[in-house]
Amino acid sequence: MKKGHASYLMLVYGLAILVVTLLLAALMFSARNPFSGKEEIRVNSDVEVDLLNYVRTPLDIDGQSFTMADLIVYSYYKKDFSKVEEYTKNLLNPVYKDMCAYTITYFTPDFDFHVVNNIDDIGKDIDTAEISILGLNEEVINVMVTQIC
Amino acid sequence: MLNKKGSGMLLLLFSVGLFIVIAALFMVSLNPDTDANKFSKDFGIVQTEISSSYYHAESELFKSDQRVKHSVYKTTNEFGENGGFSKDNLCVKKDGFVVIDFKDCNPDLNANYIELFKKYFGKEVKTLELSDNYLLGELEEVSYNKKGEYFDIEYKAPNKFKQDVLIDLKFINELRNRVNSCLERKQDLKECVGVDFAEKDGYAFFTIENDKNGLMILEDEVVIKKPVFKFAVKND
Repeated sequence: MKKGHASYLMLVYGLAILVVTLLLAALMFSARNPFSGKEEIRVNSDVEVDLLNYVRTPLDIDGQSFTMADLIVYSYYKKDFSKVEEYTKNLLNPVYKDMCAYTITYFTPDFDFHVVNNIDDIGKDIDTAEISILGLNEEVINVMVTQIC
Repeated sequence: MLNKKGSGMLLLLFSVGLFIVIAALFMVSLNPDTDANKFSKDFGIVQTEISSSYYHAESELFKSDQRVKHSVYKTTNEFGENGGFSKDNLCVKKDGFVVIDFKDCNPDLNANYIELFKKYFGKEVKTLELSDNYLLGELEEVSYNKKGEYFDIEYKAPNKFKQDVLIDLKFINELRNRVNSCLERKQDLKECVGVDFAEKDGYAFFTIENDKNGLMILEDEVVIKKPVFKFAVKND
């Protein structure tokens, strides 16, 4: 083999290995490394804080100061959630507008009631949060919010 | 200066060397059990768990606040309906009103309220006092623990409360003392106490209504009732 030819081959092989190495490095350090085994983490903190604020919202009902949680407890015993639905929609619909859809479910082992806002589901990312409210005899009433933005 | 052959050789050696290093790192990155990968994986989880810990602790505080409020509703209702005693008191009753005689039946309003609250609350309370018609207390702190392979979160929050008792204990104490003083001086109660009351069969019936918020009470069904403080005294 001629001296010039051998030198040319070394240059070509060197460049080829360099390119492969750089591709490997790019793959390894890329943000979406398919081999790193990272799991997608859903952060529900926004919807959790929204739910806490929702149940703590002060309400004035016929001149009496209550919170949304009190109204839910009262409605649970009365088996009538119409006031909860009215106050929830008045409270949340102006905030969510047409940006997000939400469903709030109130449930115990005995019953299940939903309040849904007036728009269709508009996205794929579903966030949920759940909180327990105590009844007057320590019964647990669960409130779950599902939010789609 | 290297000649043409030397530069080709140098590039090849450099490339092979770099390849060996990068390939070794790549093999390490494929192994999920390495410290670096575990840290990288836990890194996001820690931030999520911190937020989750806050939510769990706040939810517990919220439940605790509700338990206090419901216990205050029950306490104020029973306390007010029974002239500052629990419903199983041994005082004389007249038309459903507990008769205060300022001797055997002369309630220590603050102490009785606190005892009745403890009965309804049913959990250990570190400190408890009545001040300006508010019940102030401290409970066991709320804590939430979450352990991961590479993290250990311990979220602690103090659990203090300040709950309006929804009756004016200060006024009721003053009124009771005024009634006692009027009776001792044998003065006409109507002119002396300055508070309206009903009279029947030689007894004066006081019903002190409160213009504050209602109590949510479970009787045959759930009711919102105005808190009242009722008692009677002999006035003959």
